[in-house]
Amino acid sequence: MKPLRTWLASAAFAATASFFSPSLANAACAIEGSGEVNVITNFFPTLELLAAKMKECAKPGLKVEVKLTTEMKTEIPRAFEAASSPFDGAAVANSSIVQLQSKGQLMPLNDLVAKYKDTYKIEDQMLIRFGDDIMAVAFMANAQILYYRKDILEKHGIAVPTTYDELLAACEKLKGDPEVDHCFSAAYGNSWELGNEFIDIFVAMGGQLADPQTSQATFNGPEGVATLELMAKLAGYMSPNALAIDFGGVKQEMQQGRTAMAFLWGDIAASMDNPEESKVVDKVGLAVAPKAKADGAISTLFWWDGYVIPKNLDGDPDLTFQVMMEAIKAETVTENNDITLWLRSNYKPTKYADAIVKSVEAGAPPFPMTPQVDLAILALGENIGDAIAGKESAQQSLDDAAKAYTRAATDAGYLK
Amino acid sequence: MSASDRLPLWLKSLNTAGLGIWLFVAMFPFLWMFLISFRLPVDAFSVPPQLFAPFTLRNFYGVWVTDGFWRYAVNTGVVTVFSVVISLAIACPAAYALSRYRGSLGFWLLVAALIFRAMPHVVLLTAYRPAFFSLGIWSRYETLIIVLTAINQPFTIWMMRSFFMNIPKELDEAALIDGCSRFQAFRLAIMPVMWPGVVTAALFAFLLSYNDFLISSQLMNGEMQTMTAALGNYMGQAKHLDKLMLGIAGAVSVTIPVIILIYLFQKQIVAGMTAGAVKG
Amino acid sequence: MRTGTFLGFVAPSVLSMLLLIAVPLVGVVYLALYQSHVKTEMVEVRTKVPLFGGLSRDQVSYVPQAVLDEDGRPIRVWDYVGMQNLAKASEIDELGRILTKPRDEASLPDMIDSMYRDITNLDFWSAFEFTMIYVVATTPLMLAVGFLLALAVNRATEQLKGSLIFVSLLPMIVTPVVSSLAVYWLFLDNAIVATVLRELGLGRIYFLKDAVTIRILIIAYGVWYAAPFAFIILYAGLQTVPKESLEAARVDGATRWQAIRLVTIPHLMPLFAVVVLIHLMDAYRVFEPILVFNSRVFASSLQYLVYIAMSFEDNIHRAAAYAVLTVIGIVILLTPVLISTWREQRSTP
Repeated sequence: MKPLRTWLASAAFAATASFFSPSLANAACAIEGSGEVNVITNFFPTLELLAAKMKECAKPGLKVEVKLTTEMKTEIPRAFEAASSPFDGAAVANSSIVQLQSKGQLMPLNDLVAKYKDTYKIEDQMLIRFGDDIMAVAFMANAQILYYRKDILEKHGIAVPTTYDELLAACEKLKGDPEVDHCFSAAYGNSWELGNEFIDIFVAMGGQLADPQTSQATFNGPEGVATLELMAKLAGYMSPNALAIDFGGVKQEMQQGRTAMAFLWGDIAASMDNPEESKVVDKVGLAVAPKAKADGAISTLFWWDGYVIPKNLDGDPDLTFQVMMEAIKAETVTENNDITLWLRSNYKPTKYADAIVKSVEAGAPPFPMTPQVDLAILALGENIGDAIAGKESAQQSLDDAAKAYTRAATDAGYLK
Repeated sequence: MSASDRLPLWLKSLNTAGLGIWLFVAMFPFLWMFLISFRLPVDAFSVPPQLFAPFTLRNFYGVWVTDGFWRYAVNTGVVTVFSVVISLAIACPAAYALSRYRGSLGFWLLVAALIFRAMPHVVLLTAYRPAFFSLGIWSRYETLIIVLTAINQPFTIWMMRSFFMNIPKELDEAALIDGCSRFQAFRLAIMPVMWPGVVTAALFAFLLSYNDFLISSQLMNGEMQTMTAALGNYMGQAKHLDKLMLGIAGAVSVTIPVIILIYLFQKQIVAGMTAGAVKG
Repeated sequence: MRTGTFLGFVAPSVLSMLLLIAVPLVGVVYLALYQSHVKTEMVEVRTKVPLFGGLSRDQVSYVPQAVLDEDGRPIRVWDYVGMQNLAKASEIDELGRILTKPRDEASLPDMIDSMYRDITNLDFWSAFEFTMIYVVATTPLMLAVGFLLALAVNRATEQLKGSLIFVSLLPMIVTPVVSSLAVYWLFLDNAIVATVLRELGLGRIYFLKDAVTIRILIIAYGVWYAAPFAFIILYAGLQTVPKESLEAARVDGATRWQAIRLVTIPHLMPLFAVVVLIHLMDAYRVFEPILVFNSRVFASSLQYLVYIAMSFEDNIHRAAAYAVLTVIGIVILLTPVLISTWREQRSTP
């Protein structure tokens, strides 16, 4: 915990909210060299800012193109397994890196990191290591936290729930309060998000998703059933439409004041106090995720986003690396402190990062980085909705998910 | 129209009422989107929904000026115009031949076209990507135009064939007897009367190219994207409401040219269809 | 027309289809017959990952790692598996097991019900089920709506026709990526439709809560989306109905409806066939509303399976198997239309 303390001590907590205002002035990207750099990334505001920063490096003889696309989940693997990838770099996260890394498609960045460590002040805490190989340079973190309405909980004299049992009890008390439509909201509508919600709770229950030695599915055991039954109970306090409402819908329900508590990503906390988006300014409190068991861990997992370079790039890795590092240099963090949860040490956490800091202190682990888990998340997301809807038992749904997982893992060659 | 053909009052009212209901249902989702595109996020998705809310042009400014949507508009223009023109230029002779040819080859070609049309686009992409990557023709106008043209063929030849079937054979046969070659007969006797069908087919070809999301978004790199492909990205931004609002403004902007286009050409479309050249 | 001339006329169109659709189609069949993966071995790997605020976490886990060849490139294994992918994708074994499983339900309907539920619990068959429901429900509805619209617009005053046509086309001209979302937003918890219905005293309605409501919504969207297509084709066709025949029928004492039934509909028959044909194919590929309405628990589709296998599982062989099944399904579905086309082609003098 020592580094965290020092870091907290050095960081002045910004008390007021300030909103997304990318500052593009102060460009000064001075990269030597010529050629073409093509980067593919997901599309959300932070990555958009970083894309703009990369493009500032363009000059006569140096072409920089960034493709921001929500289809990156298909496009990156396809490009990286081709004979030659049209993309020289990509932004990935916990679950997307493992499929690329396990197929041996990523270039170890050790030499480049060593060469440019001082130029771009690359910090050790930004490096993603598989064994000795540095496979990615990360820039931001994220984790899900509990959003709650301070005013409503206060009105009913309810303390902020620290376990899911407390949350269920609180919801029972809130029944009939005309101020809220539904007590709780979580993103059960989208397959990937639903699988992710399951894994958050399941890991906190002490479950193991797949056997570490054989890769066989183990999520359909007693912890899995307990997790899914808990999710079904939670769904009882959510909108009847819950299985069709994705993250965006949950966020809107919270911002429109229709729900008392919601489980949402930490990086959008400031938007609750943005009067242009939200009707509940200053009314939303943030807390660490509830525990799945009274004596257990909090039900959340840490994610990072970072840049990788494929082995089969058709451009110059050195140039690509420089362009990407230029975008995430320390100045970018200083100028845009509040737009996300930066990993660099010069990031000054605002009050919106409080619950995230507490989650680290509570020992929340990173999202498990194995390709098996990446397959499990989808198998779960596609199948467990049936149990939550009451169409079949939790065990039956989990067995269906295990079957889907086994099939996918066999096709991928992880299971013999 | 003869007097005897006048509708009785009740039928006329029913007709009007039915049309009214349909117009409302057809327009409403877009009217609502149009309405909320001029709002701040908090009002756009307000609970309860509001009919009136403060007006802002911020979303349009954001998408067109800040995010440079005009680049995608240019790409869309180039890709759409060329793919529609090429598509019709090669489909018309093919469809004409199919309507006049009696061999079983024609039948099998039509069946093959049907099967081709049934191919899920997402699967075609699997084949395109490695090929285009290694040929180095990925993310180029020509590539997308040719792909969209090909994908458009099955539909267009099926549709144009039905139109040509309705053009009396005596027309081109007369030309053949006069000593024209098949191609001359097509050019001189058929082409002048085929425009009603072409206008309709062009409309569909245009929509296919203009609205294609999957292929355009994956075959083209960042700045080469078409409007619809770029829009698809914005529409997935439910997590970031301000981005989603830009997407809605973009969607409205993308729809308006089509409406204007159809409005401008409505005379031709209607006249084309009613020209009377196509006699049963 | 001579075969040589015919070939000359169709050459450019056929060439484009061959290159960009037929060749990929062959590739898809090929992919469906093979299985491939990067050769991996389980290796104990220590990963070091940053959490937040300067803290990192080490994790040791067994992770599949690529086996590399001497050039440091991952080795890809290709195995011919024949029909195995197709059998797995269509879950034919499971289906057999369900059909032969002894059942102890009291009555026959109960037995059929439980068997049906078991079958629709399989990914492929539940997708197939809703795809078929969607096809069967939307085809007559969109044809009826489209035809009525064509008749109605045909009766409107000349000045109005243009505006009517272009408003009617709206659901079709807006890209489904946008229109399905625009519709979805209307039906969310507190969105405009639910709110208006509540104000009208119909209570709180949750449109996305169970199989019945969500399926009705998707089918309604399908009709809304497809009817303009039927409308415009049939409207164009209506202009070609010979006025003399209609008038003659009326003079002979036929009612308005009889005139439509005996003159207009037979005349439009080829166009009806085209509209149905095109719609069958599009309906069979229903995808956007399934994805956008987040409905997979209650309504899935074959195209959705292809998409999931491709985009999320990243499993091209499985996606190819689903695609082959989709194409086979299309051919079966279209057989009646094909037979009539065959006759038409033959009988053309």
